[in-house]
Amino acid sequence: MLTRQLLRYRLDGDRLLPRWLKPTPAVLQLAEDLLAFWKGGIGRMRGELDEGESAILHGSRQMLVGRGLSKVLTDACDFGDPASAEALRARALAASFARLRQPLASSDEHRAAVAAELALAPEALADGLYADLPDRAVLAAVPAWNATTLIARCNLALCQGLLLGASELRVHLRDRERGIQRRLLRALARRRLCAEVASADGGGLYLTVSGPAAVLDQRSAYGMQLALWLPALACATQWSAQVQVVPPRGVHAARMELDQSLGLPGDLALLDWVPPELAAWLEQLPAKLPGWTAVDPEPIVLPGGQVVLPDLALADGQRTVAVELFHRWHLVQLRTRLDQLRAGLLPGLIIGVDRGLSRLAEARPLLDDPLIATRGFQFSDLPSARALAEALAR
Amino acid sequence: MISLRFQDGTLLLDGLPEDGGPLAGLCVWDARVRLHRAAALHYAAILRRLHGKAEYRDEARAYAEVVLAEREPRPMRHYQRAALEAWEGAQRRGVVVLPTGAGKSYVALRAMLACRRSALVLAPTIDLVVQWATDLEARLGRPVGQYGGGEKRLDDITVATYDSGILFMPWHGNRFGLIIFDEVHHLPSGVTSQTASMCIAPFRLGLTATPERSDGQEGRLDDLVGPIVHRTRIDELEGEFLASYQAEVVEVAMDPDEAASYTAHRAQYLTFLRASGVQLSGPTGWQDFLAAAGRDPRGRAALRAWREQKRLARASRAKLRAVWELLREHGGERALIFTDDNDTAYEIGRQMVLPVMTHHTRPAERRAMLAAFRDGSWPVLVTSKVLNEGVDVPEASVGIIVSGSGSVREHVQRLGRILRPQQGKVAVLYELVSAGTAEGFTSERRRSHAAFGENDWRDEAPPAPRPPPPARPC
Repeated sequence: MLTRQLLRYRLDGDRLLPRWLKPTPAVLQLAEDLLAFWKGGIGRMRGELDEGESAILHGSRQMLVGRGLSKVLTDACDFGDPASAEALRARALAASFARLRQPLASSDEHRAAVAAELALAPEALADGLYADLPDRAVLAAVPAWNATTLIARCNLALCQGLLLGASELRVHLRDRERGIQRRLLRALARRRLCAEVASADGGGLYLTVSGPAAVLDQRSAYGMQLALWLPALACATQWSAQVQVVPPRGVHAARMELDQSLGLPGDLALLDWVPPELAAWLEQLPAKLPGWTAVDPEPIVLPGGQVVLPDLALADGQRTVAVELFHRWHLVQLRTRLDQLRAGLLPGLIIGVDRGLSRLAEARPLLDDPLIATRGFQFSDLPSARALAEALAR
Repeated sequence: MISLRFQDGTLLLDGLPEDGGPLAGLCVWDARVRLHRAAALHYAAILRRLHGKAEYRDEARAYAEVVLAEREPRPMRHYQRAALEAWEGAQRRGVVVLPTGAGKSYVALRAMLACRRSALVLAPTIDLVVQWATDLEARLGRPVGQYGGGEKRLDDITVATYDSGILFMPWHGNRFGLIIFDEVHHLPSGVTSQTASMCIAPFRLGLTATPERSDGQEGRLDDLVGPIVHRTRIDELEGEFLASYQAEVVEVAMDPDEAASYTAHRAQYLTFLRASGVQLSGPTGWQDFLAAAGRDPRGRAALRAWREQKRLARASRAKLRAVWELLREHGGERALIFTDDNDTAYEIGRQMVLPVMTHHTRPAERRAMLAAFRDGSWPVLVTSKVLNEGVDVPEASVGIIVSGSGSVREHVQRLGRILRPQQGKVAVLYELVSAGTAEGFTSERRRSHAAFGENDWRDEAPPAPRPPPPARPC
């Protein structure tokens, strides 16, 4: 994403208007020049490429735009690690400090004497002493983008940079396809974002996305998560969003509006991102729970439009069972869900209750509910295979 | 009954009336979970309001009482005792301002002993985290947890970087009763402040030599940590508890060709600034310069000229010769060479075959460089910014500032690096300034502090200690 200095926007009353990069001939030319320059630089060192690139940037009338394009492009480039120079450094410094006990008249003489001791030319010593700095990293690969793609990615990076100051994102997802809805909701949960979800006319969803502490104005803790979720949202084909953003050079929140017409590129890797601890748990599941595999949970729409998104779904080839987990702060939701189970609204759902929640006095009457005995289990952090197996068997 | 629970760096409060009742003003209604929610920071204030006035159950607190003992107790210096007493008198919340090298970490240790609660120390860099952990383990004779730089061990006493604190506070913000912010002037900036607001620790201690910030955000420390409760200045300790020192400004005349080049480049960019009406000193000065440069080929040339004159002033040939002369003059002493930028640091390193430590230096090599500096096998170390703060190099007696910003804090911190007392030590700080350049103004700005014989720009008397606190439920 773009850094603060590279964010281009203006304020119009309570609205924040990003200065979208348009594919004008000048901008397209600049993007093409940068792409050609970096693609032609494979095998060369970063430092010399940065220096060479500055000629393109300084030659352009839009230096800030050029820097933004360059940032997005080089962030996506692959640089190899420069070879370590630590061994040479250790030998050279040992020799240098031995000679510094009786220093020579000039640093040139000193360097020449140290180089001679190492059987190197003074220039070779100076060049090799810190040859493992990042500017010596060799460019290995450049993304296969064209100028239009680079411009679109720069606009996405602009948006993400602005979202770092966001407190809440209101989304109208018009895509009716359950698959994308499910993946977007799952991506939200995996980023520890909170969402109020309601069904919209025509099969879409309304989402109000924020972090747990957003009501307390601790927005920036979630700004990064919102920024990382945006490329997932952009995978949808029909959506619009309103964001309250405190701009980097401002004090008061302003409204930013986004939708699919901006052509922001989606990122499937971020749509299907799995946190490392969950990935490890899922990897162990088939061995610990033979016959069952984890599948994507389907959102369940209740009468009245409320949407329930289970945390997990397990399938054994014949049936699919959804699993919803209730943590210490889900007392109210657990009470509601038990009422809904009792009313027969969620036939394929079993529920896990965090032991921290079980210990609450208010939760005890709920745990005595017969539904817990037939449809529930307890867990800490993540459900154990044994508890799941027992619940599934019931 | 009102119940408190910790969730994701916040407090969830159950059993309150809609308007928040006794906790009005400290919490808000969160419709998403249909409960009241408060910042974890307000934990102590919430308990004080509820204690003895309402029935409540505290399920938020997950920190332990720990009995700590110092392996080899030593007497506190008078100003350390005064600082600790002032902090205790302010309900164990507040900021202690002591010069670098005056033993702030010992005040922190005594605060831990006094609180007897699990404690978290936050520091800005990995080097400082390692230093804190090593020191605390040695003094307390017990394992100390470490978070950051690849380590993820929590213990009753844990040390972490601010960056790691931001990441783990949503999960572990209820596990510490005392939180100590080393170099607390970092805390008010942006996301870093959330390490304080997402933690329930009722007892809070901030440590710094220089609380003032150029953006004026130091006022936020009152809410996040507490008020400044004690301040001792460098000149009050010099000679007794800090090494005696001299600070010397060395004007260095550039070689004629470089001086001419400097003058020409400076004139070129100043001419452009005047013509385009850009004021670099304004709040958006640099942005305006970049924008103007982007619109006009003369502007782009002016930008290049700005860079070149800056480079010449920072690292002229004459300056580098002066560095070498100083190293010769102080042969055998431990010297730290400071620069404003990495390029100059590496230029010196390459030219004089010296070790350079920057943020690019890998942790293992950093440790090796510091160890070699301390044991005297590599008695000179070149650095840009990473040694500005905190890292303990008591053997250093010579500081050479080749270039720096106009920040008073940076300059005082750099001086602090050579002030750790040692028998008979007289430290000397050289500041190399390119004669007849803008560096002269920068140098004047950063020296406006009592440590350099000038009035501190915002020096103030320490506030009177507060009255003893009421009974603490924490």
